[in-house]
Amino acid sequence: MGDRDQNIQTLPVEGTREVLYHRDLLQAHELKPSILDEVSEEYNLIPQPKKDRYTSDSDTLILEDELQRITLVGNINIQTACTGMVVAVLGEEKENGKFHVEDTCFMNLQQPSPLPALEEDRYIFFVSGLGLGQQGKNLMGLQLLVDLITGQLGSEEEQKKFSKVIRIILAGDGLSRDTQDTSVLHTAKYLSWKVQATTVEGVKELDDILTQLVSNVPVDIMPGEFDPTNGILPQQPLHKCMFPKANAYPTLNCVTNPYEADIAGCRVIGTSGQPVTDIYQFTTNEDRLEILEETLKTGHIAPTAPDTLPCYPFLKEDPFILSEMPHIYFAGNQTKFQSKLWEDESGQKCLLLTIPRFSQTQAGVLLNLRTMDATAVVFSSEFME
Amino acid sequence: MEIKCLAQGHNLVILPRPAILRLQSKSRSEERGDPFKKKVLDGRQLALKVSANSVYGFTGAQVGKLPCLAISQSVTAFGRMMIEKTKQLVEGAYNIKSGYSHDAQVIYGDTDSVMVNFGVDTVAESMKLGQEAASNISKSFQEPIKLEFEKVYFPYLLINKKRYAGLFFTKPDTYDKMDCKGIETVRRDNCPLVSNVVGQCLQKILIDRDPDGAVNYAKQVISDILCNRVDISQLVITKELTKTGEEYAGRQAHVELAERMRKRDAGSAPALGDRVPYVIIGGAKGAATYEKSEDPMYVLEHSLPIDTKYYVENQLKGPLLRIFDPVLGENKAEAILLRLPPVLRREHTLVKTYVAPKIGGLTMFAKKKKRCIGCNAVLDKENAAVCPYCKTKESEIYQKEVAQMSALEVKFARLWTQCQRCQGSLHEDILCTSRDCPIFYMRKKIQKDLADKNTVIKQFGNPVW
Repeated sequence: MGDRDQNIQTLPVEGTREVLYHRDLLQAHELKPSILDEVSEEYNLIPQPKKDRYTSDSDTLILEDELQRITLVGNINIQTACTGMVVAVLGEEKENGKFHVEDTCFMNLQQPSPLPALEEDRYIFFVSGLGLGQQGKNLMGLQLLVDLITGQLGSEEEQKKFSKVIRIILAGDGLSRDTQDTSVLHTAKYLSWKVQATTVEGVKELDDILTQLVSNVPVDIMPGEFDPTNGILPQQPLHKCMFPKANAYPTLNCVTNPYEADIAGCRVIGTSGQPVTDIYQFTTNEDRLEILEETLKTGHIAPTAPDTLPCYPFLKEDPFILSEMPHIYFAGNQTKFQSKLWEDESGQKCLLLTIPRFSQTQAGVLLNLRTMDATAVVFSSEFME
Repeated sequence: MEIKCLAQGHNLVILPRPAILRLQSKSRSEERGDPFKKKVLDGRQLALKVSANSVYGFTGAQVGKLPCLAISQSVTAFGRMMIEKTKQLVEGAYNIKSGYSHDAQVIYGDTDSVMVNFGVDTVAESMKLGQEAASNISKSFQEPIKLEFEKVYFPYLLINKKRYAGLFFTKPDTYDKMDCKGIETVRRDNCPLVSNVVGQCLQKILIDRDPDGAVNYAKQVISDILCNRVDISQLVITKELTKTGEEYAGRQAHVELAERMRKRDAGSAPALGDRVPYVIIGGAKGAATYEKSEDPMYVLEHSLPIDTKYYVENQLKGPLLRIFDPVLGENKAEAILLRLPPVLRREHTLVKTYVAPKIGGLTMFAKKKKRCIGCNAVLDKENAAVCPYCKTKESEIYQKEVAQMSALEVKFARLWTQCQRCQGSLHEDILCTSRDCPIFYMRKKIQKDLADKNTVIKQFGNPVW
């Protein structure tokens, strides 16, 4: 977890009634899948139940710093808080050794530089989860998307609008889950010598799509959970050697996940969605936009890393801490499009966006940077008969 | 079935008392409704059982505190006599002549128990017959000796004296557990691999009724060992260092290793009384096993090759043959398991993988050259990943490597966070050095594998953006 909180001190004041702690939260889950069980599973025993969500009523919440741990009860929602949130709690320790919370507060983020006023409309187009490389996949919707952006489709008005798209952000999962090969570590090298990686076909398709896009607009492509790059956060950019065709254009930007960019003076930060999906699995919070909001409030993009979300072991610092408020904060690969203009007590504003999976919803998100209006664009490919 | 073998006449005072107490306690424990009290009474009767057994035990031990062979011998003699009697009674009463569907047959008996094959089809029927026979035969024994019905085994794999396995039924509909006696699943002096494999095979044979599946599984494991795909924690053998090297009569692997470790670093070497974990590594041809023992950590750090042949021949083979011989037939198991007709039993037919060690031998004179990741051709340029021929396939080669790295990374992250969860702190470094933990060596191994894979990936150049 690193020293994300060097500047905060614990005040273990004995005798006084109220104690303020400011440390990481840890949610203890009974149902969390454990690799220990998995290892023992390889050598018989009971298989672990596969679940979508791992919450249960017996989950507990623990506050931890370098020296101690304490169980939290009282005015704090155990089911929606998640591991790794940095929090200050006000309350007192009762005889049973549990800490009774009266109030909680989170870190304030720095003011971002003000948004530049744009004279005319400028758009960013977000799309995530193209899901290429899937068997029997209808690519019609995707082709419509490409044609719309390259100006070969739509009314004059629409064409005008899409000509003002200054950046496309592909927020992860260009490839589908089907391209994942789980047996990689178990098959012998001599058996897999001639076998191709399962991602090859999908990457070729992605290269073709990208080539069409980058010849018109700059594209930032972020890696996601199923893309061929390193599997843990922060994910390194997709290697350009995989896109021999699209690589010819300087407009192809392979970027990291999480990704931060300055687009026309606007600070954009976002992930391909793994942190939000992971929190969704370990809390009872149903609304993914709310989860996204929570991570902004606590100033941490991926609080559950490295506990339940695999992450590179950083020793000195935690790169997922937000220091400054972004103007736009998004998460890719979610179930549906949602947006919200979030405002904190000091009046700072941030636009929150959840980008739906294209492969499931056939939708992308068009954001007007001048008005900060976000709309979903759905590419339905069903023909009337 | 169990005969409470109480030799009235000897040790009149000591022997019967715990046994009677036990019977009382046992019947009381069955009456009680409260589960807690039931557990207490159950524990009590088990303690009494141990006491009664040990009375018999110490009289039989010639270098014990109170040896009196006459007592123990007469106990066993009475036991044997009663088994003999039981055999006659059971086989005399339960046969086709007296109207039963099969001839009952006593197939095994040991000290105080007999196993009877009633030949019926279902567990429920044999359970009924067993209970009936037990109460009938008890009548012909002197008080307080009682032949008690204990369990039905179905299926039952009798390997030889004191070695058997079976599914244990005390109620007719579901089995309670898989019961293994004297088989490698429970012994501690093998490496964990042996007990896991044997346990898994027995499970496939007894529970899934799938002997072919068990054979395939065993074959797979053997191939895994030969190809170095088995996690090292599975291969670690642990023995306690009780005496120093000079005091042991023969030379032993763990003693030799402790000696060698002391020369390497006296501080961290195992002391007297410690359990020494070791693995057997490849060595010069004909070298004795005790010379080839090595510290698992040292093996991981220097990627020393494991002596795969030792693990197949000396560790796995015996136990596997023992359970497969009765299933597949005498002498067939070996040929089937090692995949070869006996004529062809030569080494080269088994695919093997060798690990290149980082120390010793000629390694210090060797100079490393970069090779093409795609086709293994020696590269001229220093900073390339693939040769000109493979350049067109670079994307595919990269994807293959990166898929492996990604899988390794996720496993790595899961292993280390598990340790964080275990030790109960997310802020501290991981301090755990429990060598008995199933993921202890795995954690180290994956760290190394990942670092190796990373250097491969780096050869492609850093992704720029």
